[in-house]
Amino acid sequence: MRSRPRPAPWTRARRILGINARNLLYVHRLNPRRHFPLADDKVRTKSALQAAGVPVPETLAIFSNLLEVSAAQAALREAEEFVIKPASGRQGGGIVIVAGHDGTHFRRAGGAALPWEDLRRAMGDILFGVHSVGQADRVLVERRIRPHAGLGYLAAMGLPDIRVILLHGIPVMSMMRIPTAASSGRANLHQGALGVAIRLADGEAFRAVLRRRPIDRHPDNGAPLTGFKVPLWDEILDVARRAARALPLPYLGADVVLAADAGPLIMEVNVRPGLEIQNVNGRGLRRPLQRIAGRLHGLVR
Amino acid sequence: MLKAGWTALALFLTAAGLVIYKVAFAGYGLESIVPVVAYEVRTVIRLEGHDDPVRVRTFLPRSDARQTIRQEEFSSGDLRGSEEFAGDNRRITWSAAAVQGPRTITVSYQAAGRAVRFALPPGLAIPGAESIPPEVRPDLQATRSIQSDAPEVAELLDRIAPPPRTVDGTLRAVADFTHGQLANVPFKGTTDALTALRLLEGSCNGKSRLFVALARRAGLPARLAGGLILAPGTKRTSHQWVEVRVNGIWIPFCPLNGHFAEIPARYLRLYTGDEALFTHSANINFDYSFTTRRLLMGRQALGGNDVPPWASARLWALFGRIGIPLDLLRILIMLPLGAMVTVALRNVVGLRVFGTFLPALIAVACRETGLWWGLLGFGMLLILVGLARFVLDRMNLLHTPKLAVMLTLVILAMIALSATAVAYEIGTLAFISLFPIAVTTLTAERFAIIVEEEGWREAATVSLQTIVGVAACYGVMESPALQSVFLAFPELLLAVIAVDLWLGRWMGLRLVEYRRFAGLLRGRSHA
Repeated sequence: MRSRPRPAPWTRARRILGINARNLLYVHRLNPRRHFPLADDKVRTKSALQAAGVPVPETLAIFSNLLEVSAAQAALREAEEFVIKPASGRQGGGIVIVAGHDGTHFRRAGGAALPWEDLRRAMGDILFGVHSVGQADRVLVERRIRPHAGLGYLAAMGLPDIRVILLHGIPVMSMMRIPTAASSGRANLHQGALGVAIRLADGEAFRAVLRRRPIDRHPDNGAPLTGFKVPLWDEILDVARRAARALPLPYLGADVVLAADAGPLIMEVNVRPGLEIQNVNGRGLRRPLQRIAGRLHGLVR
Repeated sequence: MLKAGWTALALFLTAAGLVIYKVAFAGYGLESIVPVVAYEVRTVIRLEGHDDPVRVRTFLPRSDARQTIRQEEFSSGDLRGSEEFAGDNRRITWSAAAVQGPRTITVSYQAAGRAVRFALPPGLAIPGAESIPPEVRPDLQATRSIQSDAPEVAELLDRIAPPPRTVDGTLRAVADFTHGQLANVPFKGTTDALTALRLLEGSCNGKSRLFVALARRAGLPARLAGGLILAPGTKRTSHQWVEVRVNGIWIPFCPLNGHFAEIPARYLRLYTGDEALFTHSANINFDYSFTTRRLLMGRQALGGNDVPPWASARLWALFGRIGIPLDLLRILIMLPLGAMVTVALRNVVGLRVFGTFLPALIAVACRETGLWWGLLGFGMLLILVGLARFVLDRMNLLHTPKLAVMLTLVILAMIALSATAVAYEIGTLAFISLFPIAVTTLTAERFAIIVEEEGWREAATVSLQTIVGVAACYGVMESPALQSVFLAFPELLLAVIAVDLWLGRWMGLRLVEYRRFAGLLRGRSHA
């Protein structure tokens, strides 16, 4: 046990990064507004990253209107496993995972039949901007990512991702988001995905929370949530750093997925990364951010 | 870099300096520039004729030193109205030889009152009956319901104000007894002075009659006064109080609400004497109501000409000349305050509300309906149009045409709500048609999107937080004190900008974030 006294609540409050401070000190001060679309539009993010040689999921198609969608039925059948998503979606809305075709219908990831009409309407909704910030949107079709074998049971309910927050290309804090049955396969903490804090130094999971409560084991399959090491951790951080440096956005959240064959890929980047990572890690973002800013200014060693 | 903090300070000092200059050097007396709170009173009388002659009589208010009446309007259909003066009172009688079916008579006017308070000369002896002028003598007589000659009244007077009596001492004792010793009961019809005394209870009229009886017994001419206590809303209640003649002046007292030789601005006098506010022919299913709305008026609108040469009253005059009502100026000047409140609620408290300044805009819209009816009406519009959106969504429409359909639906729903409100006399909900249509449409759209993406629960939470925001904005924007100050000193808007700038640099945790990060704050953290 440590004997050092616990800091007073108001001291702890100053270590937490709130929305006001995040926006004033980091998002709006560092990230030029004109570059926000680079992060908000996945098609643009991917082309910027690919130009810099940063690995991203394979793009199968991009649809801008319903005619293109209708014309693509056969090609999509060929593609077998793919994911459709809105280029400028919010919080995972509008994403449909297709696991194959059984001769009459496409099949969803869970195995349920997905008639072409339904898939086409889902893409129509995306085009009409139902899930997007703007008024209309594009459909991004990507090859479905198969999770890396090293993730084991953690990937049983869906593809986990690793969120790394970076300041000036330097990783500040990270967590893994693991889908559960309750989150319907989505890596979204608000919908009931697990958040697991990952130590930047060695990739070891040291704390896990489910809906802001600490938890030790995966609620669906009992896999341990702490103590394991994320495979290919150095490569993951390296990809995140390269992504951050490829984009003119000094304060950034990079979402990395670990693919079976290709290794770490940048799934998307976020110019206003969420603050929940603090609850997952059990510590505030403010001091680590200040330390990095200070180090860059040569004020602190 | 331009410092927001210094800019805010400079703006604040400029605003303070201008206010101080206007008050200290430019002859800005607060009482001459602060706008007057006035009321629009609408009396609605309903009756039903059965082919018989019909007569309805009531009193109309008169302008005097204490109250100003303007913009009177009447409508009575085929009933003919005739006005006459009876003593101090202005009486109006509507009549028709034969009326069949329902009729409505409406009288509306704007009334502004002034609070008055009199200092009674201390120790003044009650003057003898010979010094009372003949026209006031009736106000010393006992009547059937003001039994100043009853032995019980004499006995009570001797007990509470034993002779020798002074004017102020006697009135104080009478006021204390009628206000303090008589229990308040709701109005149950006319109560005479003796009944009020025997039961030791009374509503405004019982208490007032006992007051008058005691004063008359003591040799002070006294009479009833009747009228309305003006407050926004619809009611049937009228009020009675007392006037006592001292040194040739009628001085007001209200034994129900404990006003001694004073009367608040919101008392509107309709008549004096022991009169019934309405008299009417029998069997006509008579009913009435008073609906009151609060207005702010420039003092010169009320006929005053004591406006300083370049007071901000000039601004009202300027607006008046091009036909823009003062009400609009008031909205313009108060809207920045609503915006400031919204900013504080969003960035300091962390409320999640629809739209950027929506709570302030809804608060403006609520000024006609009142807060509760406004919120209720707005909630109904949201749900109605939000539901319609789900149907529209099935049709795979483009965004803008879909919004156009929703806007039309908002208007249809507004008209339906207004019509229902008028037909069933539901409060002031009828004014829902004055809501900003485009804002309401976009809010319905936002509402539906939140329902779709985050569920009904989150949509309900955001709606609830929006309601809190609207209530806060309404409280600030409709505060008469703040309205008066900001209308008199529009330069205070610079100070509002200063506060906005300061809030714009606010980096503290939002209040809701203390809950979000409660675990971290309790120190349940990893080392």
